[in-house]
Order: sequence, then C-alpha cells, then structure tokens
Amino acid sequence: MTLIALSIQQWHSPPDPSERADSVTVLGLPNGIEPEYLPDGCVNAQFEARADIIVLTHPNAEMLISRHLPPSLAATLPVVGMGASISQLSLPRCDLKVCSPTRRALSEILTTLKPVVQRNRRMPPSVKSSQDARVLLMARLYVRERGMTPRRDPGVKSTLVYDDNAVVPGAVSIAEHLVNRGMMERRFLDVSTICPFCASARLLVQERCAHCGSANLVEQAILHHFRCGCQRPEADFRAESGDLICPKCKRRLNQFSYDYDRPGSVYSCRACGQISGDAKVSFSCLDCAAQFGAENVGRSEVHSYHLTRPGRACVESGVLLACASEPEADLRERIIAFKKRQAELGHPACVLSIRLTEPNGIPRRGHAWQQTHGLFADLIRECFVASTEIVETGSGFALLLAGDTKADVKKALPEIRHRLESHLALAPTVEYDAQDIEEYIASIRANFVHS
Amino acid sequence: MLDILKQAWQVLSAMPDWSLFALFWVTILVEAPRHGMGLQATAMALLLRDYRHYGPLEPLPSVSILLVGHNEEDSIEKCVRSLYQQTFSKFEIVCVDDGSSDQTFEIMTRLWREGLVKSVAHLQLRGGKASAINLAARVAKGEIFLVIDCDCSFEPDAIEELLRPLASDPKVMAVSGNVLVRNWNASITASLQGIEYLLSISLGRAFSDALNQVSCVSGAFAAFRRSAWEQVGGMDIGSGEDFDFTLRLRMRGHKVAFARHAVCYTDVPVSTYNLLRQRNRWERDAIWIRYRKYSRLMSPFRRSFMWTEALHEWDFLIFNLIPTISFPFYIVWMLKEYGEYGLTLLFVVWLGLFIFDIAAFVSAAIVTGKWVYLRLAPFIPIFGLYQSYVMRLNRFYAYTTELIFSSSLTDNFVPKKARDLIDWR
Repeated sequence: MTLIALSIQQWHSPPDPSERADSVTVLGLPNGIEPEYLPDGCVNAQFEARADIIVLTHPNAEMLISRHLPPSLAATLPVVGMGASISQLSLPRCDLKVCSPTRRALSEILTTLKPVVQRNRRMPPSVKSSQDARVLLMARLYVRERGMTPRRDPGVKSTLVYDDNAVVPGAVSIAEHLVNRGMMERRFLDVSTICPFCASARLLVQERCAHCGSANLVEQAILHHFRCGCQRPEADFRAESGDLICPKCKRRLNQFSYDYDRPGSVYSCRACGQISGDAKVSFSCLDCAAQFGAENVGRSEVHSYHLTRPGRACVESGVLLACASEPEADLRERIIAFKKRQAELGHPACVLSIRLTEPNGIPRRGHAWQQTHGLFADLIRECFVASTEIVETGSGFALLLAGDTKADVKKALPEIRHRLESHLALAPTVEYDAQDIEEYIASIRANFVHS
Repeated sequence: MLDILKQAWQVLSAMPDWSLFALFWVTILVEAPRHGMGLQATAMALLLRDYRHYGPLEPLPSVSILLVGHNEEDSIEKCVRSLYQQTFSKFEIVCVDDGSSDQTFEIMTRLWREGLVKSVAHLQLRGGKASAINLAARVAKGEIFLVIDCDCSFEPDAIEELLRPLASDPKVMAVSGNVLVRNWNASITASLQGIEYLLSISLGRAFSDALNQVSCVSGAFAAFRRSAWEQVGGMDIGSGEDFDFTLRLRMRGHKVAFARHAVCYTDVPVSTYNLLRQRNRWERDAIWIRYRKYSRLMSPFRRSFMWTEALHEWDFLIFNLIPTISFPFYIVWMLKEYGEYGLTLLFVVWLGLFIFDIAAFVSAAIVTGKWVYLRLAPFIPIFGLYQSYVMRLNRFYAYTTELIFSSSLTDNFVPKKARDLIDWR
C-alpha cells in the first residue's frame, strides 16, 4: 500500500518537474499502476493533488477515495475500475471499467477520458477548493458533461439509484435546490408506482377476485355450444370422464369450430365461486406489507437533472453560489413582500392558513388522496378572487388575502368552509386559521425550528 | 264522401244477410273481435278495479340485470347510468360484450371499475343474443334476472313495477314490461308504429294477461325467476328467442304476467323499408317457432298438448295466419266480383275499422295512462289502411316465404356458425 495520507501543505506543493503539461497523471488505488502498463504520456501520480484520473485496482479501494482525497477531487476526478474482480461489481463511483489492466486498455481509457481531464484542469481554483456540496455536484456533472440520471436497482426501496449520490451525499435534494435556483433543470424520465404508506416501489402486483379479494383465481375458457346456444365456462362442460358434455342439452361436444368454439375467457374465483370477465389488480408492498387497490396506489415521477447554462457558467467562472436559504425563508420572503405591497397600497392584509388532514385509512401518497388534494386546491382557486396568492405548504395552503383583516376572514369562515368542503367525497379534516401576517411568519419560523 | 256512403248503403241494403257475411267475413270474423278486445281490456281494467298498486314491494330475492350488447358503445353507458336512477336500485348488473368491434367492452370495463357493474365478460366472437344472455345468467348471482336491451330507456319506476308481480305472486315466473315507442314523432312510419305498440302491447298484452295468455315476454324488458330459467335451460339459439323462451316457460306450466305500468321506451325503424325488413324477420320467426319448433302445441292428440297453449296457437291461426294468407285473394275476389262497387265496399270496411281504431286507441291511452300518445290521434285515419294493406301484405310475404323456403334460417340475426346447426328445420 503506497498511499500516504496527505497533509494540507501537500495540496499546495509545487508541480513535479517529471509531470509534463500534456501528460496525464494516474492515481492507482490502493497501489500505483505498474509502469509497463502505462501508455506513453501517462505517469503515476506522486501526489494525489496532481492526479487526473483515479484507477481502482481493488474492489475495496473505492472507499479510499473519499478518505484520502479532498472533496472536490473526490467529486470531480474520473474513476476507472480495472481488473476482473472489479468489472463484475456495481461501483457507483466508477465512470469506466476494464477487465484486464493492459497498456492498450489504459491507452483507450485515456483517449476516452481526455475531454474530462481537460475540463477538470480548466476549472477555476475556487471551484477546486470548494467544499460546498452544491458546487461539487455541479462541477462533477460539468466535467463529465452529463446529467444526473438514475438507474433501477431492486435492492433499494425506491428502486432508483443516482450513482452521484455516492459521491455527493444528498445529491437529489441538492439537485432539487439547484433547480429552484435555476442552476439545473429537471427532466421527466419515468414514473414509479409506489406504496402510499411507505413510498416503497417494491410492489407485488396480483390479480384478485373483485368480490372477495382472494388471489385464488383461475382463468378458464368460455365454451359456446352452437346447437343449443349454451354458453358457459369450460368447467361446466367438462364431465368426469374428461369429455365435453353440454350441461343444457347433454350432447357431447365433438368438434371444435363445428360443434362449439371458445369465444373468450373468464376468471373464476375458487374461494367465493364468483365468475367475472376481469380480475381486480391489487398491490402488496414488499417493505411494509400493506395491501391496496389500484385506486390508492401512489405515483412518483422520476427525473434526471441537468446543468443549465447559468449552472455551467457558474462552474466555469468560479463565481460561487450564495449560501443556501432555509426552506421556510422563501415563503417568509414572499409573505414579507406581500405585506409590503399591501402596506404601500394602504390595504389591510392577513393570511388564511388551511391545513388538510387525510381521513383514517386513506394513505397520504395514494391516488385518491392526491386527487382530493388537487380538487381542494381547485376549489380554493374558485372560492377566492383571482388576485389571491395561494401558497402550497407541506400540509396545506396559505392564502395571502389582500383587503381583508383577520376579523373579516374569521367572520366569513363558515361560508368558506361550506364552499370548500361540500364537494369532497373523502371528507378530510380541514383546519382553518386566520392570522395577521406577523403572527403567521412567527408561526412558520416556530414550526420550522420545531421540525 | 256522402255520395259514396249513400251509394254503399244502397248496395248493402239491397243484399240479403248471408251475402253481407260473405262480403265482410274478414271484418266480421277477424277485425271486429280483435279490435273489440281493446274495449274489453279497458272495461276489465276499469270495472274490475285493476288500479295501479303503489307502496313498497314485498321482500324480494336478489336481482341481477343482464345487459348484453353487440356494438353498443353509444348506448351502454347511458343505459347503465339510467338504471341507477330507478326507484328500485338493489340490483347487480352483469354485462356481456358479444363480440363487439367498437368500444363497448372498454366502456363496460370502465363502468366495472367505477363499481356500477358487478361483472363483465368479453366474447371475442359474436355468438348471438341468446347465447350471450345465457352466459350473463351463468355469471349473475341474483335469484331474479332482468333482461334489458341496452338501447331502451325507462320510466323511473319501471323496474319496481316490473318486479311487483314477482314480489306479490310466487307463482309468476316471468313478467313482461310494457314497451312503448320513444321516437314516435320521428316520421309517419314511426308514428304509426307508436299507435301499433300502444294497441298491440299496452292493450293487447293487458288483455292477454287478464286471460293468462301472455305468450311473448318482451326481450327488451322482462324479468324471470332463476329457478324457472334454469329449469328450461336458458334461452335457445335462433331469432325470436324471447317468444321461444316464453313458450317453453308456459309449457312447463309457469305463469307469465304482463306489467303494464312497467314502461320502457324503445326506438322503432323510422323508414318504411327498415320497418318492413324488421317485421319480415319477426313474422318469419313467429311461423318458425309456432309451426316448426312447437307444432305439437296445436294438436290435442299429442301428449304435450295443453289447452292454455292451444288457445293462443289457435288465436294466431284464426286471427292472424288465415286472414293474412286469404286477404289478397279476398281483395282480388271483391274487386273482380263487384267491379267499381268493390272500391266503395272497401271504403266502407275502412270506415268501420276507423271507428274501431278510435275506440281502441282511446282505450289504450286510458289503460297505459300515457296521454302524450293522444297526439298520435291525427294518424288514426290511416292506421287502418297501414295495418290492413301495408303490414298485412308484408306479413303475407313473410309467411309464404317462411312456409315455403324456411327463409328465417338464413337470417343473419344469428351468426351463421350457430344458424347452421339449428335442429328445427
């Protein structure tokens, strides 16, 4: 094991005269690459800080990257897995894999990764030394010139894995944050069907009897006896001898398509005896064992994330992002701006906070609840004037009401309640709270701190 | 007009009585009793205090509605949703798609997902209405089956009224609904059929019901007990399956009733051509079923002979088949024998029938309580001509082609694969 733990001074050590500007420096982990495998123009790195490419020669070496390299290098340097044992494994950090460590293989890899290496070298020092996870994620995607795209993995609950998450923990939420900042864009990729209780996408899909819910179903053909018009499931025609005997006219069915045909099929439930042309699809969650019907199944969109032009410019220029705002700060700023506007106009203003709670037995992520939530949002829009600002909060809505005082709104609450709730079939619990703007800001701050 | 009447009176008054009978035997023997029945039914309905029964139904076993359809994408959803507007709604609906090439099955499946339909079965190959209903009956769980045509609409209490005889009389095994014309104002042909349905179904079956002679339970709107259904093995293949099925129930001694307040509306052919085609098929089926499949009902020397069945068979023979077959010959004979006076005499016959028709029409309106049909009164003058000449000649054609060529066996109402194996040739 040749790797030596690096001190801070070493990061700023002068360049090694043996490393030419056009040469590529390879850091072999856990051991350096044997010189005979190194192609022309490629040298083993003397210092990790000088490395252009990391080559893993052992499956366990992946963990050494984050242990021994600074975060920016760990996030941006391309990683190559080399060796038969590595090529069989799923290593999220690896950009490329080769089975055997040969000179030719390394040469091809260098050719492939040359643009990545060049972009990495061009990155401004402020980015290279940054420890901001957002910057690291953007830099990582920038040097690789790719988006952050998930792959399916049944080993995890969501069945989705973003490999970049292994390098930049919390990559998805960081990406979402960057989407809000305009640095990244979200692109629709797919949809996952998820458990409405635990959000697991590991679901077992079963056909069940629509009447008793049993999975003990058997599909059988319908037989149509032309001569007497008897049309029933095959089991009704099947005699003990195995012959087909018409239950109505007692004739033997001899010849398919002359005597009888099979125009369709039905499901027959062995548990309750019900016959139906279609079975009900039900879902069982493999993680929390919940069972639910198609009407309650949850839906989660799968996205890939890509740098936008401002995001690329941010990485190229090295002008870094301001500190991340707290989640409630945006809402608070919006409400303060609203208050300021109303004060300038001389209008009173208040906030009507509406909290929606699903009834017992209705899962929050289920289709039925999502539909009710959507309908409720539409009803709010219809109930209030168009200029009312409606903000969706985690558990409900905040309505920024211009021209009304808290007392006015409290007085109108019975009518508001009637208009909003009279159309809802699921009957959720709805809590209304009219507050002055200052009260509301204080309450969201308190809730945030509490949460 | 007065001259014609005066001339006719002179001709008739100069004749001896037996000549009058020879001249008007069709009218005296056929038309007068048949039309008189309407008046009798009305009298029975009013005098025997056969008022409508209101109030909740007696306890009923479970009810299944059997809806089968072939290419019914336009009507199936409307039909299912309208059934839930009924005053009686404790039923399950079983749908069978009989090899549709349109969106019928998709619509049925959607209704099933919404919970409006209990079961849906899909047949990729069309097998005909009878076999599709048989499958629906096999899938259904109810003890009473309601057979309904998808393209019908109903009075809000139609199902309740249809079930009332079954709830109140355990001997009743089948009940026919009262089918009236929905598009009676679509054309003159449709208006004439509006009058015809009113007289033949509302009035005619009410009268038959009073005599326990309901021989055809309408396939568009009817109810059956499962026990009777299974006893006769469900519907048989072939067109006219509703008439055939009713006869088989009656042959088992089951009571069949008519619920005149269970009103269902259907669309009738608007053009004369389509009407004649439809009637051609119906009339051929009547001959096929009565005289080929169940000819034994006519003969008192057969073991299966029953007076109750012989009555409606003879009724059909005497009041329908013989007059229809002899009618063209009668007209030719009259014109040949009396020359220009023949037309005058035919006019007199028409005038007589006109009076009968008015009486029967008003009776029918009273019996059904559907006063809106009084708007069809302007068509009464031509109704007699339409019945006597257009429909009777069409019947003549249908009967002769059926009796000679068995033309019903080529009817594509039943798919060929099933038609080819029908036994009763």
